[in-house]
Amino acid sequence: MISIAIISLMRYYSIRGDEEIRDMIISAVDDLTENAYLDSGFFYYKELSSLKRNAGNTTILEALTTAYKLTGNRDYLKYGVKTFETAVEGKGVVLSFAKKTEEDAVIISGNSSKGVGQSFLPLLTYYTACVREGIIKDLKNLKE
Amino acid sequence: MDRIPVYFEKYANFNRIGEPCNIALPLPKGRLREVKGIVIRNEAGEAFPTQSIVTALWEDGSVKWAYIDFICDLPENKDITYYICFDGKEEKAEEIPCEISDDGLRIEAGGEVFSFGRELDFYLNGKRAVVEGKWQAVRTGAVASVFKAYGSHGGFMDFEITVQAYRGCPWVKADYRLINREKEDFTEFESLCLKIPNTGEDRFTIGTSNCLTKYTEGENISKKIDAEYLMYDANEHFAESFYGTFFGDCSEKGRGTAATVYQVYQNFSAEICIDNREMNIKILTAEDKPLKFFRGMAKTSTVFIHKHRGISKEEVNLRSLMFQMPDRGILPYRVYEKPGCFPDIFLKKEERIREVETSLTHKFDSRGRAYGFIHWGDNIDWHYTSQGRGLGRAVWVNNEYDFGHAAFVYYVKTGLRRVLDGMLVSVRHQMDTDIVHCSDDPLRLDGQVTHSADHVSGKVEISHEWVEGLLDYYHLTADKEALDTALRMGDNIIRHLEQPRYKQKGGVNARETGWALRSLCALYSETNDERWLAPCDGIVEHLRHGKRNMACGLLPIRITR
Repeated sequence: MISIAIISLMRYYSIRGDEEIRDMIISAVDDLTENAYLDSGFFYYKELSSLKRNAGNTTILEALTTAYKLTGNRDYLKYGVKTFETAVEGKGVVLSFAKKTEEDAVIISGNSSKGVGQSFLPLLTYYTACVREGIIKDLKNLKE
Repeated sequence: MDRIPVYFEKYANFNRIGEPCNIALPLPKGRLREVKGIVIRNEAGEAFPTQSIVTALWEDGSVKWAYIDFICDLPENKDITYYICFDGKEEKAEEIPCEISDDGLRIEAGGEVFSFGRELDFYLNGKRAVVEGKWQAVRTGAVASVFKAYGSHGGFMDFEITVQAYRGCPWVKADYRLINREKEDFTEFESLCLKIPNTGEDRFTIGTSNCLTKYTEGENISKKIDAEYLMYDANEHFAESFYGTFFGDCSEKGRGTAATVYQVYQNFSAEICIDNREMNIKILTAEDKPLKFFRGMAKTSTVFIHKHRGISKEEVNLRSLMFQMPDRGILPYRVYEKPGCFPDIFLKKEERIREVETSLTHKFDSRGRAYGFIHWGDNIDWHYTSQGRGLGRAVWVNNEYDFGHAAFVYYVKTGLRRVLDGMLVSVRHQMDTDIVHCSDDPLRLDGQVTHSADHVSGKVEISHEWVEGLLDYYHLTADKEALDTALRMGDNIIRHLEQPRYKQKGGVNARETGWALRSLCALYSETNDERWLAPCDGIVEHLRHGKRNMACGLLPIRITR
């Protein structure tokens, strides 16, 4: 969950403009790409071996985009391709509107809104940066 | 300054003349010092009644967000574009007539009079609402006027009521908000009613709708919306935009009063009963199984009261439908892009990748929903539930990761109305239900509760307190309660950060303080008030320390001493 600290630091940096904060952000992202990036193309969830699994958390994409914005180095974006691809695959269009009762509520089936809350800013900022850099042209032609 | 287009989609199959609309406008720094020159014009340059206020300023004192109320005409079966212009001349337009006295509030709108005395027509568990103190004018003008009052039901259960009237419109919108500041852990609600005395005997009507409105008419009529009704009523709308309407109407000799409960299906259970004594709008009916309303919760219900003359039940229905789904203007994405209030998410049409855009919209659309008086605007996280986090009960998401803000950012990119409506419903729920409005514990008071059973059984933690959606909601609606709620949550975060745990370097992980840093920076950006930055400096110092010591701070979790 380091990524959230990075993207919050970026907000702080945009207010304070302290160059040491800029360096902190970049070195934290470097730490992630050097030490937390797996052969699978994903980042790990947490460093402990009991938690060292592929992470689907898209917050990393906003952190990578932040480092790219600060440095202009498009290589940062390339580390996020697998995470991004996985997050946007499955473009179904059918909604079921199936219902059931749960306690005193009527529930309409669907995924937790947490997914949208967590992923949309990272996905949108990363996607925009990758398109601008020509890293993503279409989903069948992702470049790593 | 160039004019800014406001686009209205093709929507209704009838003309809307003199329709009240509104729009929130972001502006670049230094562009505008005041809003009095803002005016809405049509393509031909004709000016329409406009009233604007500032909701946020840049640090140089220029306008960052303006909220604009205006009246315009919308054609049947056609889209239309209006324009925000900045060349308006200050004209002394007559304000909507109103009078606040010790006895209450009196508004004249659309040729009708609406009076609210000290005793209101709302009843909770049979106890009548009584205003304490005088009504207050929140804002008044020639286009829209808003008034507010506070009180309780004979010393039981506090309420706030906000009444809004519009130029030339014979109706008012009333937001009735219950706030549980009772001593008990929870209070049981059996009913919340709006009882409108009935002087009419000509025509009693109840309208219910899904695709088409059905009318129930007679001398003694009632209609109930409950779980069973919803389970067997197939409805394919995005319910945050629209489900159907539900209204009661009493008319006599060509004059009548109708009451529409906003999003009634989504906020079930409700009932309307009409006889020759009164029209009883049961906003909540739970006599069979009282509803637990926990201490600290709030809940807002919205009712439109429409006085009419010489119109048919079908025309009453059309107005009722408009209450449920009003016209909304849409700004082009470039208007949001230019001021720099949003991250770089704006691609030109030819740059966009269809598969990605489709996938994101489907992700948004396919989230779960929940109907219910307490639950509407939230949904259940089935993963958390199956992990046992609710101790066998369903776990509510409670706006985790600020769904409202994510939705608003997606809206400004796409202009999809249902995305905006989803955001508004979600943040309204967050403001009411997920935030602790009353507690003896200062670390809970005004804090946001983490995902949990009953919405309120979880902890308040700084890693789960989000303000950006609340601030967006304030810009979009001019509802100052949203801003105040965000500011109070900021104070809650600061109270947490003052605890010894957060003073000890290395005592917390970056996830917790990272989210707090985000909320506090957002409050600074909103208010330009340095007091929000001092705790940020402290957080960043901890992260610096963590970086130097390589044992915590920015690094992922490790087992430490």
